[in-house]
Amino acid sequence: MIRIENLHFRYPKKSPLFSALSWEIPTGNIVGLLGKNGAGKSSFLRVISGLLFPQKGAVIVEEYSPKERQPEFLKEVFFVPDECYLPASLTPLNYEKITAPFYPRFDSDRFKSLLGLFEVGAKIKIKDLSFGQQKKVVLAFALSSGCSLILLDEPTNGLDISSKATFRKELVSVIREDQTVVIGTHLVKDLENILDRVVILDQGRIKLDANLSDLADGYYFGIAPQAPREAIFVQSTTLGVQYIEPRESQSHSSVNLELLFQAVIKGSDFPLLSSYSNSFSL
Amino acid sequence: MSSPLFELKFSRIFSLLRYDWTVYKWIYSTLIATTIAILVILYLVVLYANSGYMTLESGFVQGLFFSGFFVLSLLWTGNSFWPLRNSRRARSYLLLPASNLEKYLSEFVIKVFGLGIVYPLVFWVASNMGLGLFRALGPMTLPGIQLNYIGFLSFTEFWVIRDLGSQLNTVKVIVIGLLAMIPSLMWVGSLIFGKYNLLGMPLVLFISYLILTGTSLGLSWMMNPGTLIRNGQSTVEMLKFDQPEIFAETPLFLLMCAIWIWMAVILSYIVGYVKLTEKQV
Repeated sequence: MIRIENLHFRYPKKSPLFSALSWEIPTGNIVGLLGKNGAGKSSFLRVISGLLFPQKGAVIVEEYSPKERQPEFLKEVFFVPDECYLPASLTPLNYEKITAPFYPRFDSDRFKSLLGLFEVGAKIKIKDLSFGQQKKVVLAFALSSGCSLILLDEPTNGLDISSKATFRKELVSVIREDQTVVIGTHLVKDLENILDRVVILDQGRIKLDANLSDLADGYYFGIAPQAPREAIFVQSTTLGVQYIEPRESQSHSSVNLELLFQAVIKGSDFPLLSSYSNSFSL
Repeated sequence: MSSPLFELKFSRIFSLLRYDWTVYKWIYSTLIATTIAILVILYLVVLYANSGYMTLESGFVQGLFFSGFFVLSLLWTGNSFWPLRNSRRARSYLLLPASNLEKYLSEFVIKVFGLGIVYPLVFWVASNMGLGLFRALGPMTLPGIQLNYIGFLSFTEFWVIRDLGSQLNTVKVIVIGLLAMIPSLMWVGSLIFGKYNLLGMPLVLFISYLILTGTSLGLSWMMNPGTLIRNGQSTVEMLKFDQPEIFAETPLFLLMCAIWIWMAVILSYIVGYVKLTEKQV
């Protein structure tokens, strides 16, 4: 479980990034952390991982305070930053050999199998791999780490189309119920159909925190030549309009994350969400 | 140990050392090879330039050893915590599942092992390579050269500070303290100044020296303006650093120097650890 209470954070000589931010998620979710560029997604993930320290407030992951960087905490957390570091002179297998001993539940077979699925040579030196291939090595390592909390910052950035699909498929299939994955991204299309929960971060605040199932139950995401009167958000497209309206008799629609994101950023309200789902939205 | 600040497990320190060796072994090998090459060249230059009278007894070996020690203190311990120089590496390093203390100690072991054990070994090997080369090549290039006094070096010969025996104990403590202080300050400097440490810490030391000297002279002048003037000329010769004596033949000034130097050594490691725990990227 991650619990954040009254988080205040700012970089030196910059305006506050987070002011009085509170958030909580139970264990066992795949959470999409969405936000515009500069909204603080990466900083938020770094605060949770213990790379940045809050100036005020509390961050608790399970029973640990991340800023203390205790080994018991660190072996349960794997953070994949947007720009990863891998030692250039090693091969992915060498990297696994020296890093896996730090993670007691690391699954070596899965790592090798994921490298195969991502089509990355396990015995090729990392310096000879492209940016996207290096990212795949780190993603394969993260998914094999067995950590309770996996933090992914822009994981699909740099991946080719087929690798994105492989990543989505493998993420859903290898993650256990007691593992939590938080994925920070602005490429919302890449995450559709894999998230349990969506969090939208804007101007230092969490503007929406909702279960995807609650959103699908409460709202209809449609396309039509003209928007219905009940629509709470409408966006023009070349073929007509995309809209969100409270769901009454309509069948379930899949949640259009891009549309949802636009709606939240532009201030639309989602009153039909359960109080828990939307407890921290403003 | 259970406190998060002092959590220590030797298996994790071993894993960190293995990680470091695997990632940086080519840099370490290059550094050793370069040190050997430079030392061999220096030996040849010194011996050729002084071919008529230079012997192993004349102290040049110790001079080379301690010069190398000084340079390596700057370059080797001054470049501690390499991964923290770069934000991508730093993220990966700080999140490796080991405590701050374990990371600190593993880096300490690497630097102390390098400076305290590998460097003397490298120096010994390079010295005998240099001396051997000179014995082999000298007669070919400089006919009539005297090789009688150019022997081989035993392992303990170069790092013993021979003339310490006749000095005051406080002076011995100061000399050994200075040998410990230079790498210690460069060590903590690597956590404070990062990649600018080679400039930052020597600059801080120079400024500290100016402040300390200036303060001493300024206070002396304030207490007794005539102290620094002799025959109308400013001079510091009149300052009596050897008074008062606190123990037999031990001036208070020397004792205080020894205390300050060793405090600097100890504080370097404490401050370094705190800086590591506070590191954010």
